[in-house]
Amino acid sequence: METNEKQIGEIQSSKRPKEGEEKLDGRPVDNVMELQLLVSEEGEEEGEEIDLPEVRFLGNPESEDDNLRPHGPDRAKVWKKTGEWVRQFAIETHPTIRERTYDNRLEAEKSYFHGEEEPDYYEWQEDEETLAEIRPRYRQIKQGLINQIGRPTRSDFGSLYPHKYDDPGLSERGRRSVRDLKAVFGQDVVVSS
Amino acid sequence: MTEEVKEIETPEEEGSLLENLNRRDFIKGAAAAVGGIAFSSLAVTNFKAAAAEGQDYVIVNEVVKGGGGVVQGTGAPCELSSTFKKGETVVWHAVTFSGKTGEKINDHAEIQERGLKLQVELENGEKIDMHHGEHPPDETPKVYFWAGSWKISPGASTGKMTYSITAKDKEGGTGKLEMFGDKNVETFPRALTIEER
Repeated sequence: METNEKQIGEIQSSKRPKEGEEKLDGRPVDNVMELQLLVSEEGEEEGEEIDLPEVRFLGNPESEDDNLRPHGPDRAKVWKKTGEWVRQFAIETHPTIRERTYDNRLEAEKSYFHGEEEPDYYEWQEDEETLAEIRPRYRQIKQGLINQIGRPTRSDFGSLYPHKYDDPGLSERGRRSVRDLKAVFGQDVVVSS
Repeated sequence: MTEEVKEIETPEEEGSLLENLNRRDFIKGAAAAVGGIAFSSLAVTNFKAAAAEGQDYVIVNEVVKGGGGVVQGTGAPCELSSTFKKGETVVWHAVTFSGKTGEKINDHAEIQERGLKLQVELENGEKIDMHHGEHPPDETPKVYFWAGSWKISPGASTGKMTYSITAKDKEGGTGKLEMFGDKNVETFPRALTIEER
């Protein structure tokens, strides 16, 4: 399998005022933040900008302070997409994870061709030892996103991927996203509210 | 009163061996070529085009999930699938047959001697070389087939995606498995579907 050997740079952002009127959660959209993830190949001077989803910032007309808050589902989308790119460039290219993933393929093929019982597969999300070794390579990405849009909350993911039944808790897709995000950026990345 | 049921005799078919074989025979042949387990009825093949156009190679192909990045609850690695999520790996398996005789061409030494190469081309123009080898490596009994993989990047387009597989040998012999028709309707052969995670 081919892999992309990219160096992860930093998060770049800019804001533009919202054109036209739009309200979310009863609050007006004040401006829109555009974010990019900068990546480059080793030795390459000019890197590549990967567009991330936009984040709408909401105002509060009843409050006198200028505190704008990011729209939760937009924030969840940015963290999720960034996590997927980081995984592509930094996690899945790590030799240990590549080797264990390759072993998954061998185990799968073996059980497939020989009619054996399905094996227990390696899950990179649970390989905390290897992940802890990789995370410093993209520490600046996590900090950049925290500075720009704040940490994602469980309710951000709850709003982005609503549970199909009217039950408390996150939907399956929401839970998967939170699990992947915690594996990429560490357990402390997602906050309760 | 009972009705006499007469069996209708099938007239002797004329034409080349390939014209008289059907898709099912090729799928069976492909399954035999890799040990009788892989290549289900979901497999796709260019046997009709090969017969009609005199192609040199018939390709039988199926698509499974790769060993890495499988999203939980969407199937195990190596499971046949036509729907994939970003971050998952699409794996093409294939075996080849002679377009002239219908004979299996799956012997590793023969493939090397012919200089046979197989390549997958995605709808977006991306090309993936397939490799003929033993699966899984160092296992007994040895199972050989062609395999190629494509990791779906977070930036990939979602929706239906078609692909083609081309076979070429050093003598200029070719074969091509292509998808025709509207990819957005459920037709045979089936297009792949790429979804968000």
